[in-house]
Amino acid sequence: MRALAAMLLVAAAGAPAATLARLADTAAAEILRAADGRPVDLAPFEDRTGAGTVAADLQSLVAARLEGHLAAAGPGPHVTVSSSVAQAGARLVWSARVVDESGALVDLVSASTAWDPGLLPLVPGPGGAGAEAVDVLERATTPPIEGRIVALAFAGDERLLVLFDDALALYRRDGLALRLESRRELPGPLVPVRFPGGLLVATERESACWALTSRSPRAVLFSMEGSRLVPTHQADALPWPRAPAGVRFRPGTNLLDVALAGVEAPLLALEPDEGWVVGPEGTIARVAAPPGPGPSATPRRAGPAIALLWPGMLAAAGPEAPGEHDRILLLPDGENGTAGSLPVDGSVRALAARRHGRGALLAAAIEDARGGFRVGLFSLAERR
Amino acid sequence: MRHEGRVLAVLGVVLCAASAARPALGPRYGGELRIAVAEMPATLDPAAPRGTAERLLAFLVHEPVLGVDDDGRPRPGLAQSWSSAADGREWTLRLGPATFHDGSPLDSADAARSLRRFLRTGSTAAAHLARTLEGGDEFRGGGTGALPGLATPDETRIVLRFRAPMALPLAALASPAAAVVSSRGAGAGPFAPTTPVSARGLSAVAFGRHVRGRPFVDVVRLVAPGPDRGPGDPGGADVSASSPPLPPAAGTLMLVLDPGVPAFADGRTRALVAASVDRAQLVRRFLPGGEPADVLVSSLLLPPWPAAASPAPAGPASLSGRITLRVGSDVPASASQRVVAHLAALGAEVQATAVPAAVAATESGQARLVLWYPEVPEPGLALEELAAIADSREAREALAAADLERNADRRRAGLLRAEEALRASDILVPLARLPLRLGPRPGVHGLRATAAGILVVEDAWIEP
Repeated sequence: MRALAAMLLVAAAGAPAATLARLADTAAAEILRAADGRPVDLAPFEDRTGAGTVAADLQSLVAARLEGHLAAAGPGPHVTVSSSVAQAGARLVWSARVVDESGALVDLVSASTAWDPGLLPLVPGPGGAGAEAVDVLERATTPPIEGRIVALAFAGDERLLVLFDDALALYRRDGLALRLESRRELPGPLVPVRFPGGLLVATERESACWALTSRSPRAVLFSMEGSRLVPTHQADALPWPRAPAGVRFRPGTNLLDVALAGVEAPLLALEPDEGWVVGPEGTIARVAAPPGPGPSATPRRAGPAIALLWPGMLAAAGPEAPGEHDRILLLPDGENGTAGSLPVDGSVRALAARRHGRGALLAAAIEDARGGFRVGLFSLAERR
Repeated sequence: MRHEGRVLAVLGVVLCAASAARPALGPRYGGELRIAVAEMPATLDPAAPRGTAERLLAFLVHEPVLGVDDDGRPRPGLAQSWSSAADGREWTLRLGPATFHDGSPLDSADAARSLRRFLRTGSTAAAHLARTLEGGDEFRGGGTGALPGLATPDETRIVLRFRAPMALPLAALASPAAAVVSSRGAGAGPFAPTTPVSARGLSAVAFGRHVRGRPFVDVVRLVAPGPDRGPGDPGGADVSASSPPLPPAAGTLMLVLDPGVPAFADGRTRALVAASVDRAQLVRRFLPGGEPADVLVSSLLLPPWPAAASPAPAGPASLSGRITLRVGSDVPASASQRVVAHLAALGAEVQATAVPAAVAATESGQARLVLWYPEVPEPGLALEELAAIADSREAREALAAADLERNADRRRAGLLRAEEALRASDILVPLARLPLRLGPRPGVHGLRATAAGILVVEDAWIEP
């Protein structure tokens, strides 16, 4: 557990800092070009990102790069640079007005930078409470990722499989970043599905995983050969424990067709280890539930993503129809209520968990209002 | 180290700042969505939209070859992929499998025919495309039927050849006027009309073979005001002006002053008018959900920059004579009354006349108060529209230079120069940014509005 937390606690996050540094390099070069040899007076940067100090941090980096070119206060030929920093999609954009000592416009300049899709920074967020029986040791989130994520699965402690509606990608945690190791397109023809679903089943011992989306005609078995994903086998349905005929998607939907004892299809979500399922109305059930305290008086509900954190503790997307935010529910087995929830900005579309003693690393695919997807990682520990 | 930690923490806030979330449980199929609109367009034919209903219809029944994303880059429409050659002068678009509402297959000949029609429309995006495409201007002028810049080597490929490499040569194809229709007039959008458009409204059903999949709701009905329903009466509609407006605030409430009339011939007089409106108060008191606008183009298209402040007008301190102000029908009445009051306070005798939104947007007048949305949500094309309204040579030159700039950052800087050149003439006076004056009732989800003011219905769904 400590190792997992330590991965997220590395203080120096190279990737985001490098992004700002890249932007500062370009901005400084543009300023020097516009100044054309004149000393530069750098006015305070205006922050239009909606956050507090990105502009101030960028200003420090730009000022450092302009050392030797900055103007001392007072008269004399110089240019004044007024800057603002804004977020546009997944890009940080710096724009500036350069005026001379009389206030006449010299130039308008702009620079921007985007995240490297092959190295996604994991930006630490607040950890702390949010759950009665679970401690959130750390949490981190990537910037928006190109593509629509439909399923997630861990492949060992360090690797995360990300199933998009048209491809499978393998990322490795590299300090405070996810580094893309391999990406393979799913075999076509892919059919258009307005709200696609996906299912991933990783098998660590075999270093392989089955992948199926509602856009692809067949389930595909990928083997992980070193850092490469290699498609090795296809099947009409995705093999599933206790379901001899496997799992298929109902055509054109995100609903799963599967024959499981005591469960009526279609389903929104499935969990292979303890047999948890989510029905189309969000009701949680369990395949061949073992004897316990009996059925819940009030059926518990969840959204279209579940993952088993550790025996007896399920993580699930919140069931609420629309709201400003979604949440990840923590649902103990055999109890009616929840053990707490983890709020997230956006809707939870996929979950995966990696057990580790009495703790777990939880990965969540979160869709924002503009349709962008991010991956959030939560380091969780059972509270004793 | 502490400094870097602060950078990361703030970046975290930035990255997590999603404005609103999509429904958690996911959409449901079925149901009927009734949308109350203030006025109906005359036709379903693809055209550059000039009013709310036209913008709504734009992508309800029609589909363009390509769309544009937040950065103005192409995103899939009927074409699922694209590639360039000849140093960016030649672009090949590949159509995905698609059919029209009448069941006939859609191929490159249909797309080419629709693009040729588009090039001869009054759309600003069409004029831009014609100017940049090989033989485009000659074809648009009607002097020839030949269009060497457009070819269809097979049923799925469309090849566009441009006069010069450009940063975003395909953005014009995202115009609603460029939508693809069959030779018999059928569209390929997410909903297929089942009734002709009329003053009473329009009905359309979900199109099961739409390129992005079947929409969630079964039926969409546009309901126009009638004897038993005024413009502000939702009349049982699921989407109407009586619900909270749908963000983002992307429409620009703008005063257009004609420098050809004596009252506004003097730039100092126009500057006086531009400086006279207290934008913050206008928004606070009369435009709920709006934002004061200091620049012409919304920050959804051009990220904010330290824009030039309007200089204090040095010249006449008052207006004189009689001014006719044409007010678009989609401009909130309270806002127009406030603007009239501002002009009257300067000494003018103002006669305000309500006109249809399309008339206010397209026909010149002494002064016009319009709610403007770009035809294509791409800043270069948006500024070109405004440059055409203001007839600004300086802005056109800045835009032409930006058009040829393939470095995105330098192009953006060029667009900022064009915006400032446009605004400096005080012919176009931005006042406020407004959200779409339509919103869903509780229980209706998935509706969204674009930066072009288009209500996107195809992802809407209704809670059972």
